[in-house]
Amino acid sequence: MKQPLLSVKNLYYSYGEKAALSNVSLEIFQGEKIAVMGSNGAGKSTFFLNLNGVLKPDAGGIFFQGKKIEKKGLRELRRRVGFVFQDADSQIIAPTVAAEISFGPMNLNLSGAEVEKRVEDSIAYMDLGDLRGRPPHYLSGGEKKRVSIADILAMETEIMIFDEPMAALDPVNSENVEEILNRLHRDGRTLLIATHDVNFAYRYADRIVVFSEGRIIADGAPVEIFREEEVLERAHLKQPGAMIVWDALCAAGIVSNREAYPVTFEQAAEEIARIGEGRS
Amino acid sequence: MQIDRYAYRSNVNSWNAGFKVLLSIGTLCMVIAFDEVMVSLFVIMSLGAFTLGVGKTPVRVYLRFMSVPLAFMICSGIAIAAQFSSLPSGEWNISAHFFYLCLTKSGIKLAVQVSVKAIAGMSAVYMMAFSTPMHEIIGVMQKIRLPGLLIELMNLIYRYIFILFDVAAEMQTAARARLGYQSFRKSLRTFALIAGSLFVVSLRKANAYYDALLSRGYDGKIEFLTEKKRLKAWQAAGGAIYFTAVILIWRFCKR
Repeated sequence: MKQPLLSVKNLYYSYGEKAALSNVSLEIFQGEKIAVMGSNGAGKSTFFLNLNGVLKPDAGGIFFQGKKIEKKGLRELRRRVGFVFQDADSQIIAPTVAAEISFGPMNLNLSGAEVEKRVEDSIAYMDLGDLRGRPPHYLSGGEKKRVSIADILAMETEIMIFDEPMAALDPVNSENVEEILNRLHRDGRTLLIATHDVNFAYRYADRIVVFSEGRIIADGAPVEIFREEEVLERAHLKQPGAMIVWDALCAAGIVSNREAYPVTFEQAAEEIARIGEGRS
Repeated sequence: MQIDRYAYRSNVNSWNAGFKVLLSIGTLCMVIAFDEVMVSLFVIMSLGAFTLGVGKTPVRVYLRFMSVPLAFMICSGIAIAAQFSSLPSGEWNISAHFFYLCLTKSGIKLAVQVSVKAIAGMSAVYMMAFSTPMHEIIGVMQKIRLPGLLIELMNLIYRYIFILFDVAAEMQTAARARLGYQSFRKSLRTFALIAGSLFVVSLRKANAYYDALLSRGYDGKIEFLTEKKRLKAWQAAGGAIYFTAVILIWRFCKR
């Protein structure tokens, strides 16, 4: 059996009296793209901060490549797991874009030349060349988002976590971010993405993990998850549009193969057009 | 704050920051030490021409920024030149029944000298401010080994002051949309409310910022890669020639 890249076993975490995570277990494998869903306050962000070593779990363990991360080794976890915050402004601290991207690598105690190389690579990867000397407060929302992703890219962590990467972005910018996420996946990164956008999760992820009240209530392929009505209701989720339309087409007897859900709306449109041609 | 935006657009922004700081502070020192009208005039003209001509700072903007200290200069100039006296002791006297407002030649000369010197000093500082973004000036301070804590604080303040201003402006707009500034009384109340909630928001955000720092491996030291801007030979030569010119003018006038 394949060894998980990161595994979480029976994790508990609470803010004072209030339990935020209870008995969370999850295995993440190399190269996966996982959407993490759940209503506000379901524990996604807390879970991520635990994975990243910012918060210390009350009980339970985190294992990286089979090796348990001790309490003292939390810093090690930060070298392995990168976290792109939802609000780019709460992440960006440096006076210029290039300086900002260098912050993470500088903390890894790399040589000057290596830091420089990583900053250059990240700038090229995120297409930030024109903005390198610009201070962050003169950037647009989409540009800030790209900078905050480049920040983590430069740390070259095995796992990248995104907390609602498309929040507060316009459609073009969120499309850009999705394109970046696709590229990162192709380049072999392991991605965990918190999102409320069911259509995005449905077309993008190859696995969905659903949180509700500090527990994982479902974990599986998107089509399976979105069929479980009880899960959707508990996690305040809706079925993706493409699935709703497809189910309706099945019920009306227009489509026979119920399993062959289209992934995107464009695919659905093509399929429907093909069926239309077959009939006329 | 605004001046920083123009510094980024300046054509001189690509020059070595340390050189610009040296040029600016060096000129400032010479203006003060030499205390010579001709030197001051030369500095006003030459650095003004440099900022506008080479740096391409808009003239309108430069004059607007200059006009603030200029207003002070005129007021204090008048105060230096004019003296109150019970006797008409100056070259020109204005009677105000109980006392005289006296203007003396030496007083006027002093006033002009002081004003011109002050404006020259401003030109020197503006030359730096209009060509060097704040964070590069901080970088120069780091290079001359100011304490690290001070440098980190300056960097963080420089970053967060803009966020604070943004949030404050948003709150203000939201309050205005709900008629919070309708009367003077209401304005005061709204201002107090905004100031209070700004403090609470700051505290809460500080937590998020700290988490973000930790998640990127922060371990007590905030360090960035600074971009190197090389000093070109012709720039250094230009600076040397400029200093020499200032000194020569001073020597010439002294004789």
